[in-house]
Amino acid sequence: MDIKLKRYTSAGLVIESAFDLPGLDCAESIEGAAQLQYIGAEHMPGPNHHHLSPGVNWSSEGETLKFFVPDVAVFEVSTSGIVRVFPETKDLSDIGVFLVGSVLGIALHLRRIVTIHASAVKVGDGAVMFCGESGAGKSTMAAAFQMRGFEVLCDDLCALDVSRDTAALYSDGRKLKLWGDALERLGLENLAEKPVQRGVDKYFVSSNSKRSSSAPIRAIFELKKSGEATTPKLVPVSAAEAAALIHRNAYRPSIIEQLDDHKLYFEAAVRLVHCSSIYRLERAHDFDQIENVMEEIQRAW
Amino acid sequence: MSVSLEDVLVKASGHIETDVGQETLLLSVKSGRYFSFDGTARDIWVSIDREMSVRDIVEEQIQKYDVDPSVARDDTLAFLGDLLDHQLVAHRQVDSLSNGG
Repeated sequence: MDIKLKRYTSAGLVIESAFDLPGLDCAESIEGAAQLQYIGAEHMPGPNHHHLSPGVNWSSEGETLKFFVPDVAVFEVSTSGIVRVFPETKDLSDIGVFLVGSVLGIALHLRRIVTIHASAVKVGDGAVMFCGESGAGKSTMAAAFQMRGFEVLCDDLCALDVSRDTAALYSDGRKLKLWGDALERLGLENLAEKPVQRGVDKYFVSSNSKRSSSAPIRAIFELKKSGEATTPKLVPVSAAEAAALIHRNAYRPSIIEQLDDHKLYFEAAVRLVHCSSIYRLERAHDFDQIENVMEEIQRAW
Repeated sequence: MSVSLEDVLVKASGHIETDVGQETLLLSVKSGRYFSFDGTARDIWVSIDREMSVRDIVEEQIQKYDVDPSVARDDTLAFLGDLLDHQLVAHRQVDSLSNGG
């Protein structure tokens, strides 16, 4: 029996999936051949795949990269764009969370697409990115700018096109993901949908993001929590710092090492240094300051 | 690691570099660290490509910037020592000196 695959777009790719992809816009009207296919498979035979070093949850074999999530699934991502999913749970909704996050990130890496852990909003004809470590406030910042009327382009991961003279990013129409406290402090509880994952106080939030548009990147802000900063401090960074910033904010930077993609990311960083303004933003992690922080960002972009 | 005026240094393999405006931007693939050189540091980095002795590099700095010779010598030796520590340069092997004429 043929299983009907649903069609989505994300990160500039057309995706066909046997699994629901939470947070992404699903539409039959999406045209073009699929560049990624998520298909279900029977349980993987062979040696126990959990016998890895603590903390290591993926391995590569030739043109295939396997990603293990205990009690959820094994994902086998190939350079051809086929992703075989070996479920280890009966609740398939748990699987979708990884398909739109880590697995998509791995697939983008395998296609040699520069992918940054960031959110982004549209400013004029360009894009402004917010990167930073997990919990730095990337999605919250995008949501706060959405409330000021700016279109959200990306959340969590930004796929970049650095093949031409400019550096651009792809919008993918995905929903924002916000923690419960951020929802409450931003007054967005009415836009909250289902939790991102069972038992986690983080929710999908409707965004005004449109799928399949791209925009040249005009500024990048790395969000840093600072216990000392009483007022937000915006620091322009040197070319070397900017390049290091791009590298450390890559989506799953360890995969860059594994795939030996240093040159790709170095060249992307050089393009971004040429085409955009790059800043480090130090501020207290305090919702009461968010308006001041946004003013500071808007003055700089 | 120390550098003497008689040394000739060469760029080590395992890094990627490009010019960004007035800076040279460099990634050491081995360490994952980024470096940028501008001004005199960039001059010295370019001189290394010409396989000059450290003494000649110092002399070039003195001529170009009209700087006190002892300051030029100490600063150049310190900078080259940093490059050696980060394995961005290496001493030219004696064999290649004799073989290369």
